[in-house]
Amino acid sequence: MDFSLTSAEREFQHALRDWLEQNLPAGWKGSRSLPKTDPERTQFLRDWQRRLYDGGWAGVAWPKEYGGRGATLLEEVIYQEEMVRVKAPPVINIIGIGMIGPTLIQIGTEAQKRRYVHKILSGEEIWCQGYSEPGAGSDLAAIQTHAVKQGDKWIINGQKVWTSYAHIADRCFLLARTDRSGAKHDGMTAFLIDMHQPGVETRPIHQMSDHYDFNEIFFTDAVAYEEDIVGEVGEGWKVAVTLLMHERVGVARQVFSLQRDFNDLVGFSKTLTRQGVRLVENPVVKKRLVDYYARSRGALLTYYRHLTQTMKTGHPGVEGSMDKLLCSELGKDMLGYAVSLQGAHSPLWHEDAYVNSSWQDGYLESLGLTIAGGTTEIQKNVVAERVLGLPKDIKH
Amino acid sequence: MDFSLSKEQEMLRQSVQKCLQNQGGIEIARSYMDGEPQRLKKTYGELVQLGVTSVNIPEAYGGVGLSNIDLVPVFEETGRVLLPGTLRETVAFATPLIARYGSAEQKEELLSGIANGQMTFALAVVETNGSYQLGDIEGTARRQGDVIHLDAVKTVVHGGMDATAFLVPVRSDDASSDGDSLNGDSSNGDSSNDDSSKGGSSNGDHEGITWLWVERDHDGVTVEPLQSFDATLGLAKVTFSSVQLDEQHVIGKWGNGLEMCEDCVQDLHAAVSAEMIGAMEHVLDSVTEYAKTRVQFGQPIGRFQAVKHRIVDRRLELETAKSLVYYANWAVASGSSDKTAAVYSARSYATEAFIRAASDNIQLHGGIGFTWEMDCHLYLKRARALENYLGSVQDFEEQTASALGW
Ligand SMILES: Cc1cc2nc3c(=O)[nH]c(=O)nc-3n(C[C@H](O)[C@H](O)[C@H](O)COP(=O)(O)OP(=O)(O)OC[C@H]3O[C@@H](n4cnc5c(N)ncnc54)[C@H](O)[C@@H]3O)c2cc1C
Repeated sequence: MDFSLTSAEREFQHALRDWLEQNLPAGWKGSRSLPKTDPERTQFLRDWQRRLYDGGWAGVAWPKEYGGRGATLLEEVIYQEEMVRVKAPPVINIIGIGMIGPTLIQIGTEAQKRRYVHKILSGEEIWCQGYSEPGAGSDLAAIQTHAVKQGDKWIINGQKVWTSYAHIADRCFLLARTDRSGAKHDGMTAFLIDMHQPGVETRPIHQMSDHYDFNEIFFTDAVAYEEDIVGEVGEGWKVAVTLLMHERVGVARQVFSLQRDFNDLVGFSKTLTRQGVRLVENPVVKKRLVDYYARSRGALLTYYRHLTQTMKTGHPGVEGSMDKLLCSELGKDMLGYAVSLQGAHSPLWHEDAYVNSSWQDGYLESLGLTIAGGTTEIQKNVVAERVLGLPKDIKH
Repeated sequence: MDFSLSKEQEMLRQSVQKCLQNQGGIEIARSYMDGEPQRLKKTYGELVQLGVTSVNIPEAYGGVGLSNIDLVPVFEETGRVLLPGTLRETVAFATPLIARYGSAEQKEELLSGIANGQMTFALAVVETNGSYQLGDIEGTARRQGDVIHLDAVKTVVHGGMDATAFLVPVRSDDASSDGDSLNGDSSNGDSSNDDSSKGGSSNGDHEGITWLWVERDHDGVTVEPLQSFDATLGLAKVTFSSVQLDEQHVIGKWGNGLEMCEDCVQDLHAAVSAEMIGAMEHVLDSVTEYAKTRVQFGQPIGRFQAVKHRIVDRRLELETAKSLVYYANWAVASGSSDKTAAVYSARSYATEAFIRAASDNIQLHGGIGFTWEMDCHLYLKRARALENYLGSVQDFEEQTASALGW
């Protein structure tokens, strides 16, 4: 057992810290410093990604030949930890950098790599991931959006929903049905779609967090070409899964955010009083905080145990589902408590929030994290079936 | 970074596991409950042969010189089969207490006795008032010339029926605190990794607690069995009535027992927690297996999400507990600055998670889970008995909070 960093890892960490000190946007105080509305907000985030790219900090895990740093797994984890520590602005092309770029590097054609990969890293082209549909969420293989071949073109019709960043995306990694004759996991194909074409219409959806990050996309005779297909026609399910496997460091960001939120919560409870007594000294509050201490430390340490396994075996296992479950559920619980501690002031929001709105914002966002990327219930099925070997859920 | 047990540590696990299985696994506890401690004695002897009792004894005294992190797999395995007896108190409390605070002679005699299996210790701490706070202790030690007179009634002594000797904290007079202590301060009683872990809640008097060790067959010692719903624990009431001891029986400095206890009890709680995760893992493995095989409505019950998700919830708690417990043992072994919070948060979390796992195990087995024949109840009873062993969840939480400076 050893929790120390190697000198190379330490150097990596210091280089990043130095860079962040020089390059974080002036006066940056975490996500509440973001411009409130578009287009300023998007422009701000695009600029931030560009700055990361210019500094060589956009795709740390990417191979060097594609402009990345070729970081080790642990360095990538350190990267996430540092970014969380300074509450760095989010990376707007996160889906491109985190999943789509690495997928193309792995299984894309030479032409696709040349055409797309570099612009993903630089943020010149923003990507979204078009999987979910109104009738296909947890049951992703039920998708209905279909592509039909006409000459050298594929004509696409259908609807996607909950597509994060589609409103600002230049391209979409789209999963569509190309053959309805077989079993539902067969007959799907992955396309790289141009979002700026007449057949694609994007409508932002107002989220409960008051943001507009996800969207509906309507495809009406939208067009894709042969060279836009990733993998083989009919192999879309396999490609879709390959893409999801690129979550190399899993919930790193969430797990570090939890530690930070916990520390902030303790600090917060020292500033609040009830009947003249600081909340941190109130036995009921204290008990709750001790519980969060154990659970947030537990989530972090469990993540480290799983990470150790990943480093030893060379590939992430299904344990990632456990990490996701632990972090997302705990985050929702703990942030909810941080709001609740504000008593009568707890519903106040935005500019009128009791301290600042970040507890309220964080809590409201946390409700999406137990849904996005596979709901809690689905993750439990995954753990039950793939870790514990329990019988498979009813499916058809 | 590497957060896993080493190959050597896992190898020790395997030999302990094999040894316990050769003796019948849970049958060791079963036959102990039925009043036949021979199987346990034999098992203890085998564990001694494996070197389990020497692992954390310093090399200078014939041990292996490792630390409690190396014992984690041992306690996971003994916990898995609910091993009765005194291994935990002996190895995870007596050894560090004597190694850190004992005199040279005590280390020579007691540590080699522990290593060769001749000596086993139980902790005679709790008195009839039920308090865990050493400050509430009423049993006394008085000096008269060279003789120490011990009078105390201790109860709920875990392993009391099996130990060859007792470690007894008592309230000591201050007769010799002015320096005529014979061996106390000559010992290297350095509690160097003390990180100010004063429990937040103790009221009572903290002054003048002294640790004595007393042979079970010493004149004036009476050991009576206590009935318990966990009959694997060998609980006893131990009465020390006008027991006369020499200076050799005082561990550490006269009157300094509180600090020593706060130090070594962390080793003990780290070990208890390791046993809990071993037991919990067994419980979850067996309920998982049962859910795959028990058929109702034409389905293995593990297909029903009400069943499978409950198992997953408990499994996640086990993973969390395991991480906390491994870390706590690492923190104790390495003297990390967060060790007090690490130990007590692991202890309180593992305690509650173990109870939930053991309780759900019964529920998901249905009627058969409610029978004496099945092992389910043994785990629930152990979970409940360890819950309040030398502290309550509330105590552990308060200790965590105060270690965190709240
Ligand atoms: C913030 C956010 C961002 C997102 N971004 C994207 C994106 O960029 N691209 C994209 O493609 N999608 C995205 N999604 C969609 C997300 O993947 C889906 O919402 C998710 O998979 C659930 O699907 P659903 O919404 O259709 O819910 P449903 O699948 O209808 O689920 C409804 C409820 O039923 C439960 N349920 C369903 N099936 C089972 C079962 N077998 N057993 C037990 N319970 C079950 C679910 O757990 C849930 O509680 C995003 C979602 C959110 C919240």
